[in-house]
Amino acid sequence: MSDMMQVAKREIKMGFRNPWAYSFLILFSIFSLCLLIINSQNYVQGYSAVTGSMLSLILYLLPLMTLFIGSFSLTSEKEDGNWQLLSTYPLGTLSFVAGKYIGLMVVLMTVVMFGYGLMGVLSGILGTHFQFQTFGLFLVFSCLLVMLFLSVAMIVGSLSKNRWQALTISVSVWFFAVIGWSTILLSTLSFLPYLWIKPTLVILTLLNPAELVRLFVVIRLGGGSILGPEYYEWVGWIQRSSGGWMFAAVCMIWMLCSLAIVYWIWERGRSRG
Amino acid sequence: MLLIRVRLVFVFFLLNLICIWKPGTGLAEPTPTTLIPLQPVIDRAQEGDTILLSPGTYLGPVTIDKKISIQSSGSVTLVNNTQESAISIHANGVLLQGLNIEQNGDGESAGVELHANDVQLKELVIHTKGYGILLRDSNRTLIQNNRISGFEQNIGKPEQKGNGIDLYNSHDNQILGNKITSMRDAIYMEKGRNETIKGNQISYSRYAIHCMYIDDSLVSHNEGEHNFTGAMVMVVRNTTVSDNSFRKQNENVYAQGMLLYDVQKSVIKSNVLEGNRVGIYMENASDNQLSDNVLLQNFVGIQMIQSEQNLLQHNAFVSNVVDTANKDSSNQITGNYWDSFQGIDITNDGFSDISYSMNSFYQNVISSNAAYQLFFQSPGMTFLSEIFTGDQKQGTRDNAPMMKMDIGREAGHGHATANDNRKVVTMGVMLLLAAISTIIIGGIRK
Repeated sequence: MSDMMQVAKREIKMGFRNPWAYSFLILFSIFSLCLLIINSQNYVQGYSAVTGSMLSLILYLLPLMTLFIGSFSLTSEKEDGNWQLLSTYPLGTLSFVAGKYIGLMVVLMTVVMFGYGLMGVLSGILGTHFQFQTFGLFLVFSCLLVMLFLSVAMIVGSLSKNRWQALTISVSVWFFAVIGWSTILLSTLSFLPYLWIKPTLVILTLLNPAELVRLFVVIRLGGGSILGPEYYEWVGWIQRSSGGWMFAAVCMIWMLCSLAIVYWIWERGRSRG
Repeated sequence: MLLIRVRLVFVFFLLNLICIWKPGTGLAEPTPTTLIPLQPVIDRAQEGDTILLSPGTYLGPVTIDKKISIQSSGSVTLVNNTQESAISIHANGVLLQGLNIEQNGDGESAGVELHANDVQLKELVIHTKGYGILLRDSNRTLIQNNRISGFEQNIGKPEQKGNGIDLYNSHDNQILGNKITSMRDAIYMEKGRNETIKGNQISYSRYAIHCMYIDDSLVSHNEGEHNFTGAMVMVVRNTTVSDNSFRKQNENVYAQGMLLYDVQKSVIKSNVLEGNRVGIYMENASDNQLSDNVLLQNFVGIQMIQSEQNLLQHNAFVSNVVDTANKDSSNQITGNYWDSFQGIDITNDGFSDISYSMNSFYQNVISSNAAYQLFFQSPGMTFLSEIFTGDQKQGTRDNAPMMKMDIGREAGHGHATANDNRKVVTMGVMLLLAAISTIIIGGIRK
């Protein structure tokens, strides 16, 4: 446990000495101001096309940022020879992986908190109206995206040999999950029998963190009716108070599974390496 | 006017005393003996009398065949366990006010049944297994501030219940400020002219307001929630439906805010339709004017089938999956606000100088398989829609869309308040402080 905390502390220190973290911090702060301006055109509570485009903008930036910072941090351990050194210490792989995850999470959450903090303060100064519930849900949405994509980033970082490889894989994961998702699914699912499409789509949605989190927020914002009769049951579950816990459980399973994969990759590398 | 006071309290008291003193029994329980038959009281009254009922429980059914007023001085309950209506009115000019009516007969029986003109029903509370109020060939009735509710049984199956207010072949009636819940059709009207339905609140029923063969009427300021359909308007001429709100009906697959079938020359104005499968569904409807309506979070905003020469102007379409499904080009659509459209206003007149052609790509995708609705406004879908703009020419088009939504701001119910603002700022300060201290403690400090 103390090993894990040591790794996490080191990761946080490294993170805040890394210019990448600050450039993303500035980028995200400017970005959050854009969101504030967009939101001032929103005339209705709950879900609208304006909220939809805000969600899309967050989906473009945050996963990419998370994938870069997360995967680079892991590949740099390999490239700089830190891992070779650490392997000689009596440090468990699990402590190492979990510590890395926690440390990176703190760094990324700080960036997100800074951006939203700035947004909240400025909305007070400028007097633009931001609903508390919407603000809160956007914050949760961003944190969840960071959490889930960080576990993807850990896998990417574990599989890549160097930063360039990590960069390439990160961009393709991001493109596949965010931009290309509907296009790819629409074209490939058309080969399936009609009745298989919905279950396949549901399973694939559970596997894509971007869509998973987006749909949760859309339904929570009250846009559940736009998903149509096909998903009434889902909407019912999620809108209930137990829905939040269920969603949290799904996210936990997601994270634990990907961390298990990461652990397996590093343990394998250690024993062979 | 002679005033008869029915002093039944004393009798009541005596009966209770007997019960208490009966050996072996405890305190008085409501036994059938405590029910006071009401018919004898009415029979004793003269034409034109006002009967002021003392608090207590009375037994129905009763028939009123002379012009009298029945009012209550406190909590008066009329219980009816037969298959007849609790109160049947056959005389003109009767007034009923402030009674609780418990109608335990079901089927076609009602709390109050009218076969007379100029009757006034006020502040009644009707709890019924059958119908609430029945009007048959009754004109100029005033039905005001009553509460009508069905029994809890068959919840979610309103089609097995009776109607709240059921009107047939009756004209010039006013139905104002009633609260109706858990019935089949809350207000059902067939064959009538000059009806006014105003300020009623309706929930958990099948149709909130159902008009058949109703002309020259006004349906306004009614509120419906959790019904299957807000207003079912069929075969109607020259009627105004305005300032109503029908919300949250999405739990039923066939939910509609408003259905207009064979409606001609009517005005549909300033209504709020939120969270329905179809906001306004029109079939065989022509020459109607639809303006200042707000269509919010419906699956389809306005759907028009075989409807011609309608004017859609100055409505707001916000967050509908499909804004309009319109097959006929003779409908004029202009000057509406569409939240999914970004216009350009060079002339600065508040209307966009480029027209809005609805992109039916997404609509086509989900009509091929409804499961794809998960992609609604997903980031990738936006790209795809922009690529496939080919069939926009056949789609619906608004020639001069409004730039800003200036109607129905209150429709969003609950805008960011000052309190909201304070909370957001507090939260912002806290987040900012947390972030800065993490950076200092975790990163900068040795």
